[in-house]
Amino acid sequence: MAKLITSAESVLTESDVTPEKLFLSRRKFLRQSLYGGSAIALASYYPTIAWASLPASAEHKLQNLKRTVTLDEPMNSFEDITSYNNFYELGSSKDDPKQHASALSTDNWSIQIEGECNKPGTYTLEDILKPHSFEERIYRLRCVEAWSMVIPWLGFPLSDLLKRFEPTSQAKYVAFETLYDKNDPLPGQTRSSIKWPYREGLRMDEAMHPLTFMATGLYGKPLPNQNGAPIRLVVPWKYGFKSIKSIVKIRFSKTQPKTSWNMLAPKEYGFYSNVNPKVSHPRWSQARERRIGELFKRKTLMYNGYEQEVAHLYKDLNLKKHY
Amino acid sequence: MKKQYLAFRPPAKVIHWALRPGLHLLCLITLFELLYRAYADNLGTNPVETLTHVTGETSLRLLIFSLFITPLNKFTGNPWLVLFRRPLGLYAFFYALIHFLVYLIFDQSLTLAYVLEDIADRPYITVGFSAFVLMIPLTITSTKKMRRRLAKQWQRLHNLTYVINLLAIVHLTWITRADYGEALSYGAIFLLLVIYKVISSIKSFRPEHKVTSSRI
Repeated sequence: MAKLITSAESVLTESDVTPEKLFLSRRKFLRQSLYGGSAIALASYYPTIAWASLPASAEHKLQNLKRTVTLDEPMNSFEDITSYNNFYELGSSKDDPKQHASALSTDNWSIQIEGECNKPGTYTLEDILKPHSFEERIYRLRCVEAWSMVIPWLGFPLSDLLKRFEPTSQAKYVAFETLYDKNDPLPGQTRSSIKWPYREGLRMDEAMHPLTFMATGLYGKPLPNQNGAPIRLVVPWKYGFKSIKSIVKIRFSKTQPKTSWNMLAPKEYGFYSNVNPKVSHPRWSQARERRIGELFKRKTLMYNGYEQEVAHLYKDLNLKKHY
Repeated sequence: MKKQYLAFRPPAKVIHWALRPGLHLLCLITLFELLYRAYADNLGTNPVETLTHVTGETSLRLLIFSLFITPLNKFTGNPWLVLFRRPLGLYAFFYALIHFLVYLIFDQSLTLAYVLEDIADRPYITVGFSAFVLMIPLTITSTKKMRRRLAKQWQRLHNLTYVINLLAIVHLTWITRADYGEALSYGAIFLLLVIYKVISSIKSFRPEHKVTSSRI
């Protein structure tokens, strides 16, 4: 069931991960024993994580990775990162995605490449991943709901992937879509809370930026389904919803693509959605955020702390207007 | 309208020693659960959010239960149920107070400037805060003494419960990002209560209704 991959030396030292995991599962065990019978407790003691099924050729790549981007802020635990998710396809509460994770099947995954490029077509996940060397990057993730985490992602730069399809000069934007099968919807997709499929998009220069990342794993393992298995986008200077999960389609486009939250509430979620403490949101003040694991809020950084790297992309943009 | 066969009166001792303490216990279960979960470090990945959600939801539910007492009494002919209305309302305020304090301490770091900015900038906070403030006079005037002193004014004042309930539901709806299922179900229940309230107040204006009701 659970495909366990020994965590790479460079990713985590033995003392980093093992005691914590054991500690957490012990706590969970104690908790469950209090709630239910010991049989239920025993059953839940064993990991019930639904992982991405990655091609064998890709799985070994998640080991011994070089950490290319790091942060001197403590990382959130694997437990935090995989138990508190916004993934409306698997339900709208934070604990729904983990609970319904097994409903998402990542077998025989493929991605459709469309639009303004020389090499459109349907590529299997194996084809997508094959030529890339993987690396580990520790990024902040800032949700528009004013909470944040620090996550060790595994993957490769999006630009390396996009170049392979030879986008033409007409390609000004890149659009992404999440899995949606009308005849076999995921548990959250039976509700029309969002117009499915989930859509996201980036301007071409944002997509080609060296920080923009395609993640296929975290903490030395393939992505758990609730985190957007088997492959997702990570754009660390934008609000979390821009980092679309479980991608099945990438389209190069001349015009700015439609994005899901913007379609739902254009006054609240702009196309850019760059983390910006100075642009207020009708629901959440964006000036401060709660780092998961901390009780009190801390100040939010401009572009989520990646100002040096990305500010130049927006120097001609009115950020109050293009929020 | 009255279903007399549903009417019964438990002995005063049962009400005093069993039903009332039972109600208190029921209302306090959520508090005990939260305290236990805080002690056991089991409030979830975002404990502050859990505290906020659970106390807010409990307050709203108790508020709705308190509004159900009168129609329930009228439909079943059990006036003793009214004894439960005040504790339900007071516990609704109690949970709203914790809800507000959690927000004040953990979300706004006890900083007045943050709170004022939030009330001004975010409609759902404006509405939620108004609901909380409106509950204060109702709590103060909930004693028997105040009820006697305010006489007719008391009922008018306490009809504010409907306004508070509406504000609380708007507060919940406004913070919802996409899935309105929960907010809609509270809204539907509240609508039923309002319809009942409107019908019954129209009826109480009719003279013939006065005659029948004076017979009891």
